[in-house]
Amino acid sequence: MNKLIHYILPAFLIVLLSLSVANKSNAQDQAIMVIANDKGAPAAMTMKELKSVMLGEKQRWADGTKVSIAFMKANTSVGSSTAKKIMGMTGDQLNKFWLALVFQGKAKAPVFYGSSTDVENYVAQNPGAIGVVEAGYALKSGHVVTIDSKKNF
Amino acid sequence: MIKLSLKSKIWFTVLSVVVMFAFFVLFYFPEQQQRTLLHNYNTEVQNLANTVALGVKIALTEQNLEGVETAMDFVRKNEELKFVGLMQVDSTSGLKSIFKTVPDDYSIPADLLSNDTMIVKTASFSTPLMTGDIVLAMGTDAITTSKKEIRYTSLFVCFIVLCVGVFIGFLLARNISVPVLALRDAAIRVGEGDRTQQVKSGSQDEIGELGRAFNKMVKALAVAEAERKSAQDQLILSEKMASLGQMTAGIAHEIKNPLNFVNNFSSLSVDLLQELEESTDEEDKKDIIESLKSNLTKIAHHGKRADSIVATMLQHSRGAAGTKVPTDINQLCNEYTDLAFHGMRATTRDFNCAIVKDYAEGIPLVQAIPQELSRVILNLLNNGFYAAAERERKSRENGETEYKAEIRVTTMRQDDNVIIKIRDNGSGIPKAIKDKIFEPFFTTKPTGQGTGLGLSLSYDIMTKEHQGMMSVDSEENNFTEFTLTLPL
Repeated sequence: MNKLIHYILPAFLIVLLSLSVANKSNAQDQAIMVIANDKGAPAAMTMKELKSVMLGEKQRWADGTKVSIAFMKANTSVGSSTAKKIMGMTGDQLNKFWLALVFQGKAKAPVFYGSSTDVENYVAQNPGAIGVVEAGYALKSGHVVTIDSKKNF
Repeated sequence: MIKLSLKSKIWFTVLSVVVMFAFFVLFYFPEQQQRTLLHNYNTEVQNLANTVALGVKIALTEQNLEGVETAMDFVRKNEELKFVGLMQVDSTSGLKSIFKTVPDDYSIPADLLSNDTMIVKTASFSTPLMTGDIVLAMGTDAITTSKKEIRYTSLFVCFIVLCVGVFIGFLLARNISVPVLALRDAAIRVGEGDRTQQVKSGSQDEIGELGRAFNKMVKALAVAEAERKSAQDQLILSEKMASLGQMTAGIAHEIKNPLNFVNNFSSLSVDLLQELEESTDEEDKKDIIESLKSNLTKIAHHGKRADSIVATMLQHSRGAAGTKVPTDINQLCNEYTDLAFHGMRATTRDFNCAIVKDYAEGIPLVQAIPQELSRVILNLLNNGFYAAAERERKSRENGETEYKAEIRVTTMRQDDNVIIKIRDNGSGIPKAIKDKIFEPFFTTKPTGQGTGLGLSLSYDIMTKEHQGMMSVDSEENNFTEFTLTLPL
């Protein structure tokens, strides 16, 4: 019994940890897609423009509509990929970054959802909304915003 | 002991209440209010800090920034906001650093303590991502403004209370003090003898009742006094009549003596005249005529004596009542001692008493009212005879025979006074009643024999009408001596 505790349990934990790292590595590779409400966001943007919007620097679209952002939560692969690919941050860094903005009242707080469907629903219901979902997501409303002419990246 | 008038006491009471109320309104209540305000404000600021901290915690754990956004919107809109800081604690060193502040780049003080100008509250949060504090500082301008408003309100309330207090003071003074003072003045005047005093008693309260009771009492007092005065007048008249009776008996005796002589010598002269008519001897006729001359001389002498007695009485009774005239004290004492003695003899024949007259010579005339002074002498002598008779009666009852009643009347001059002493060796005055003998209506005589006014009237005659003195010295079963002092 003691042997079991001393050798088998640590081995089991090491396996679990490697699986977790593998999963995370897989998540960071998750391709993403930017969607937007038909009102506000343009159909195509550069990565720089997108980053500016996602970091709260650009708060109004060209037509004057107020920008509102919907992210997937950082504990999802889409969420962490979004932070990495668009802002060059980890999920936690993004979270702290937006906390600072909201704390100081410099930008409207983005919303975080656990599924692409929720993100799509939010974007569909809010003019000026822009969100990030998994690549290839079957969009029912709104439109996909191409980033540097790519739908998925 | 400070003497405070009723009005002062009313004002003192009202002003004490006002001052105490003012103290509470000006100091105690504002202090309480301010403490409550400050406490509530502290709680409010702490709650805000807690809300922001909770929002931050939710934002960091659940990626829900709406809570912190709502809380921060609320905090930023507050006009009293000085600063709000998001402090993070380094998980390894434990050092605190500023993560973000509102306003931007605000230099948060190191001590983080509240002071007079702001309230500083801290709320901690702890998440896997970040651990730290929310530091929220709110200004106290609103509290200061509220304090001022409370102070002004307190001053205003104090002023109102003072006005109401002064008004109540006036009302109380008018409704209590004024009638009571009027009552006091009226009572003083009633005490001074004015029985016509009446006070206004319109109010229906206890003071009104007191006024009405006072008016009723004064009326009753006036009636009672009139009745008492009437009864007293009657008694004084009785006393005078009694002394007049004594005097009349004395006068009758005084006049009867010479009249007896006149009658006897007249009758004898008639017989002698009869003898003269019938006599033929010249020698006998001469003797009879001599006897007749002698008789007529005696008749004339005794007639003059009677005339003199009547003239003296008239002289004493003619003067206007209350008028002082130069009076020979020795003569007055002598006449009234004789009158009193004969008066006594006329009423009690089986009692005899030695009269010793010891008059000093050369006593000047005294300004006196003879009718009144004679009444005093007569009264004291009558009392003396009565006391001596009483002692003799008791001695007889005890089988003692050696007692001899004696009245001694002495006059003398002492400095600027003339003294009359009337001393009897009667039953004396017991010590217990010595202080009461000059009180009106006090008597030890059996009912119907004395009014109890004799000594009281005598005392008044001596002290009030003659500005003199009257005193008594006595030893029970030994003597009583009254001393009358008349100023020259």
